Amino acid sequence: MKITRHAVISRLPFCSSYTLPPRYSTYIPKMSASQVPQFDAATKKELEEFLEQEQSKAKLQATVHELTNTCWKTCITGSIGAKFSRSEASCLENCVDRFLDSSLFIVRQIEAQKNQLH
Amino acid sequence: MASLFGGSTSSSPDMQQRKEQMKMQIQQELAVANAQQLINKINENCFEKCITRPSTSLSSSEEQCLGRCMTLYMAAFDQVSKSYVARVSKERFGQADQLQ
Repeated sequence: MKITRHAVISRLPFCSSYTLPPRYSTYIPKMSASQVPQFDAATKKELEEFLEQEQSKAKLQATVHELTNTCWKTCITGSIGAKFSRSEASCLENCVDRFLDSSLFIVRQIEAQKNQLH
Repeated sequence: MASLFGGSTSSSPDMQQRKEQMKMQIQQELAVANAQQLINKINENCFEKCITRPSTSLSSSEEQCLGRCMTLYMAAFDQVSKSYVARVSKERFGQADQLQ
């Protein structure tokens, strides 16, 4: 199975596992119960699209939080000074790309193993 | 809220206003959730770094460490954010083939 661009994107870590913060997700049922019916169809559609955009922003932010956490734990090994050491700084610069490379590598390994079975 | 959303009149400017209000509220909730998440992560990671042995109160050196750590964590967040956005747009716009 060939890994398409779309497959690569959708397999980036955290993209599927992310759930919205509780306050944010309870917002939607709350809206549809009483407020949304007062909007006309075009406005409803616009709001739905807006919400979708904001949700993908939330997803992106959540991913960045997770990655920052991972990279911080991996790269910041010394005690906390006024700024990062040179090696910590370069580790941080490379961390995200190598993490995503690992993720893609693992996916490709799995795909290859699956193909051998068929 | 009740006065904003519960009115029985649904004239167009009114609806427009409610729509904008709702958009703003959604954006605000997202911003608050994002800030809360950042604060939690900073506390989690900087506590681990700076408070190695909790005593009866925070010492001034621990507070100094926390202050520096906050700044550094936010710098790390910015760096990661930049790298991630760059990577995602690279994958999306045509250079994914190089990875295969």
